[in-house]
Amino acid sequence: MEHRTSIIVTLAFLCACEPSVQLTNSQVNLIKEMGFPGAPPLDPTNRYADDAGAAGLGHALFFDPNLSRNGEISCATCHLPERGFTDGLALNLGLSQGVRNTLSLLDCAHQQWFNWDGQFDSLWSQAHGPMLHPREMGSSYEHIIDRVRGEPILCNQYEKVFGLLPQPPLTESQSETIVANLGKAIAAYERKLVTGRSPFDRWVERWKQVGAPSDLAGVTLGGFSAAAQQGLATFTSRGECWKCHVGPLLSDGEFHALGAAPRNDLIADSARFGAIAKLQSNRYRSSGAHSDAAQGEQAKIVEALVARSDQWGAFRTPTLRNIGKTSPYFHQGQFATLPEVLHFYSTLEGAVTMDHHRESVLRKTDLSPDEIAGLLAFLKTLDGDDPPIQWTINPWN
Amino acid sequence: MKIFLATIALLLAQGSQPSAPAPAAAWRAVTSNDGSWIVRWRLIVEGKPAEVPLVRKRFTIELQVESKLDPTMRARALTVDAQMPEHLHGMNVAPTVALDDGGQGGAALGTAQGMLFHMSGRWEVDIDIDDGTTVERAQWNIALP
Amino acid sequence: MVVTLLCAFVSTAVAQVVPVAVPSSSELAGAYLWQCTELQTPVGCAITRDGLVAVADAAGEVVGLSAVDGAVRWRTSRAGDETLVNPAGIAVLPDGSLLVSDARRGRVDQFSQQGNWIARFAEQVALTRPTSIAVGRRSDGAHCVAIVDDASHEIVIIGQDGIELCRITRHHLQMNDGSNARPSHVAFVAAGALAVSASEQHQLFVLDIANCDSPTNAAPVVQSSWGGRGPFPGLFNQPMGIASDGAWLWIADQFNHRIARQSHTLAVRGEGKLAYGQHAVFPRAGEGAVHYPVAIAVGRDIALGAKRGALAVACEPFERRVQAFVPSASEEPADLRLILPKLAGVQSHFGAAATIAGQEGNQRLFMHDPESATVVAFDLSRGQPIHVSTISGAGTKPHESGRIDALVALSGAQDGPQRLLVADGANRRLALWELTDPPAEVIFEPFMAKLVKTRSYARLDLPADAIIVSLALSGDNMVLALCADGPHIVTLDPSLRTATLLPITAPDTTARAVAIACASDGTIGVLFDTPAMICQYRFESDRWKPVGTVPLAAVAHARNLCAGVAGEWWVDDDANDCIVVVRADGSTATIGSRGVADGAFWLPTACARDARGAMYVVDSGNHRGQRFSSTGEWQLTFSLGRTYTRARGANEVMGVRKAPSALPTQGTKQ
Repeated sequence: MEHRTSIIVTLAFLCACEPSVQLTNSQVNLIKEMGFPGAPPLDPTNRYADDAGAAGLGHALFFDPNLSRNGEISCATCHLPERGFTDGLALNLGLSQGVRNTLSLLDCAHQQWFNWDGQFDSLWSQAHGPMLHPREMGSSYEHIIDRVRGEPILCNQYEKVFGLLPQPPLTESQSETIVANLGKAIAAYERKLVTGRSPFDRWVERWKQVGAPSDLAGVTLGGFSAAAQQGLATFTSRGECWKCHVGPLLSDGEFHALGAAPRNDLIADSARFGAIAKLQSNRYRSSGAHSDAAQGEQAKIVEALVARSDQWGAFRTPTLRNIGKTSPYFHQGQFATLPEVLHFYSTLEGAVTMDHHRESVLRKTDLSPDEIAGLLAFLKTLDGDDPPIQWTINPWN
Repeated sequence: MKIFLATIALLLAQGSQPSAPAPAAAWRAVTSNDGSWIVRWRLIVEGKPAEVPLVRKRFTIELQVESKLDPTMRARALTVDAQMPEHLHGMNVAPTVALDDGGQGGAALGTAQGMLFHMSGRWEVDIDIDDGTTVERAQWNIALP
Repeated sequence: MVVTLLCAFVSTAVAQVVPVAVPSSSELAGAYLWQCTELQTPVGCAITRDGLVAVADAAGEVVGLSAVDGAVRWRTSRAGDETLVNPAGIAVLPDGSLLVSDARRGRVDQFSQQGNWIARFAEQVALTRPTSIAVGRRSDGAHCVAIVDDASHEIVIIGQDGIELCRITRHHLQMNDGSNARPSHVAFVAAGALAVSASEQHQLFVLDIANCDSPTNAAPVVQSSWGGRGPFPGLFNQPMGIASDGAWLWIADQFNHRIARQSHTLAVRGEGKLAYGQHAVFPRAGEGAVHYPVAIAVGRDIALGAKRGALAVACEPFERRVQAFVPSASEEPADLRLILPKLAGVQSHFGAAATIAGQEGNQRLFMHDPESATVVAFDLSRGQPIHVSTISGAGTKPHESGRIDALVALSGAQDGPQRLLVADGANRRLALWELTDPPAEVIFEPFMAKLVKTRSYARLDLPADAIIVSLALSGDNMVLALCADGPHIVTLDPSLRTATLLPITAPDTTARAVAIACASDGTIGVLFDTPAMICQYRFESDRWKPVGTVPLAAVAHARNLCAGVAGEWWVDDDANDCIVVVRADGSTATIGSRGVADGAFWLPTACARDARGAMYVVDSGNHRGQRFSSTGEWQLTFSLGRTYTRARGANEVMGVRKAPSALPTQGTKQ
């Protein structure tokens, strides 16, 4: 079938001297699924996920550097609103340099797994990670709770949503519950960071309106050029991007070992292989005591996960939405620009083999310069409108 | 020439269309790979019989396993798994499999709960039927859009 | 030294080569010091503080080498009045004397550092197949000895006085899925802490054996356990020998072709483990590049001539050598990225099994790759073997394989779909596969085979823990499975439903049955390795009746057996690197000799005959197969990606970094 698809695309290109693209049925079906994702799914593990008060508290917490050990690092230090909620660095830099690239928070509420390795299974569970990590904010339960208790704005907001803060000395269970609630508040805020329609989304909607024709001639729209159409065709065929970048988020949300070598100064990263044990022992996991749906769908999946050695080095497929705002790319920021990324996929230059006997899912595609140009044009159409302005400003200013 | 090529392309595109789906919720049947068993199966997705599972959503496979060789022969144990041959991996989760040996006559009834296809693409479902001597495989494919 | 791999190969076996600079051994495992190639099958090693490297050579010798330069100081094949048959493990006692296990004789002997036999050790302790030995201290400070019994899969703990203290069983080595691991090698990492490798499960354990002090009290506690099959740090592909230098655990990671140096105190899976070593991509590559290491010894404060220092020694039976390194003093290598597998070198790795399915014009040859636990299929219909599929893969699920020991095609003379039976010694089962009919065009078809069924060894009534080492198809299309323990032959119908287990008489108490084949007249030949001979049987009413013995005086170590088209037997001699053909009239002929040229061999391990009588020989040590006419003329050489029929001379063969004249000479043991 793949050969046939290749022939179809090749033939289609041969007869397309004009900026017209002929799609196969499978391409049409893929593209139909790639449109605007709409509102994020509900998060049953967090009953405050869509609570306005919780989002307000989360907003304040997100921008509060006093939660960190040295009083200088906030979530927003690495997740800068003006950079698509990333930091533009290859490796994150909190109290000290980290070992992975900072992921964007735009549209993060659509995800099932969090961090590059999926060691968190909810947005609120993930929110604790950077606060407590010694290389990021380096904080502690005690420090975080003291900050909330000591800052009237935070304390009032907390108590409006979650009830009165218990008085010290706190039991371990009380401390855990407070910190869990703070994570849920930050998650409620991060759920607001959804982007609007991208040029591609608008084009898809128009294309669907006219019946989703396989011949794209005539389906034009400003912001989605003929080159972008060609790129879309390559994306969904010979480029094989669609194998992982599918659906409304242009991500399958799963974990794949692509073989991108770690940066020179870093140890190899076991990624998903090591993350499953961490996830299943995380007190804030979906099936844990602080979850609001400990018997829910996500909880059952988490408990049934199995670690396999072929998951070693497998990282989560990031969304391609807003990709123009979120450079550099890959889990250690190995590639500074999109052309570098496409060159890697095309050539697999420098790739680590999964095993010298085993075929990798990824294979060289040997893309032509025209195909790469088309893909770049397409990728540039995936940046959506920014989230509502009130959620991108620092409330402490 | 251009029209000719375009015509061929369209014909090939037509040829690549999937066949029409069977009615939803129908029980299907497959014979095991050495011909010893007939396995009837259907999928339960979000509590209802369905044609295909949803990506990243748990589902259940209901099974009826019956000997084609000897009506008195029973499946003693079942293993249910699924893999993506093109991707060289299987599921990320371990399903819970239960088997009722059927008592007096009839097929053994089994369920595999907690199946989860985490990716789109071709999945191969493998049912390994243990009769106490050998373990024989029945298999079928599911294309997950 | 920076080794640069050349990309200009004229070889058959090199399918893809990426010309990358490989870090020198000094950057990874320590500096290369020396190698000794005057060995046949080195499988165990130990280092004494006095500067002796002692090697257990499974071909029947214990060899003492100088730690300074690897020169042979002494070698012995005697243990008192007896001959060593299968030395498998070696360790140093506190007084500097050596303990040597002999797996075939079921005993352990003590030798001086000069190679003189002293006494039998722990004679009262029942050992069936002792292999790995470690000497260490119990938590109370007293010395003790740990010995792996490969027959019972137990670790026997013996006091310094030779009295058995207790047995640690596989039930103490529990995997995450609830199954039990089988111990393969042991090493003490601290007083009362015993490291255990489980090669079939690709797992390491560190056991607290403080509570293992009497036969009725064997309660080891697992301190840490990690592993899984794979090439990345913290994963293994058949971890074999292990050793401790007091700070680090060193692991001979056989199919990853490296020595891993890891902390043994970390319990988190896949984290914090560092791997060292350099894969020898090509046969005979050395000077730091390792190829299939199976044993490792490390020591500090070793006498190295006028000075003292650290030393590490690795055994590589595939290369018939040991190599010594000065371990790296640095805590971490300069560039950890380099530990990841980046080489796409030789893709052809062939184990000791081959079989051909189908009829003339429709035949497929199957061999197996031990590193990936896959079966590789070649189409033979175009005159040259063409790799058309890879079947199965590493794992424990029914369609996966652990360690492939034997193959047989079940449809050689029948119509209908071709079927292939695989004996999986790690998962302890037979797996029956069915193949689709060959397409009109020869193409690579990854989904050519589907699993039909499996039958576990436990349901064949084999002796406890026994495995099947060879498979054959009888003239009436029954499967004959050879079990080395006993030995026994299991007869199964092609659907594996019925099975009959019958013993066969063995010619010698130390002889091990290694292969079975069926001649066209219905005679069954069972090959015994040492002393090498073929015992022939015919089935009569309810037993296998011996009908004759074919002595194989010219064969040093028999590895495999195949029946020729004219009633002759083809025997793989993997010690002398040749095929010995025994004709029906008793005359013999020898095909090939040690080398890398066409028609020569390095570790020939299996043969398979096609419908015309041509013989395909697995030349495992050269990463290739070769085809010979029924009369022994070389016809072609092939591997996964290449085939050629033009004979090539010794100077233009692939992958050998030394001139063939510099290769070790003919096998040492005749």
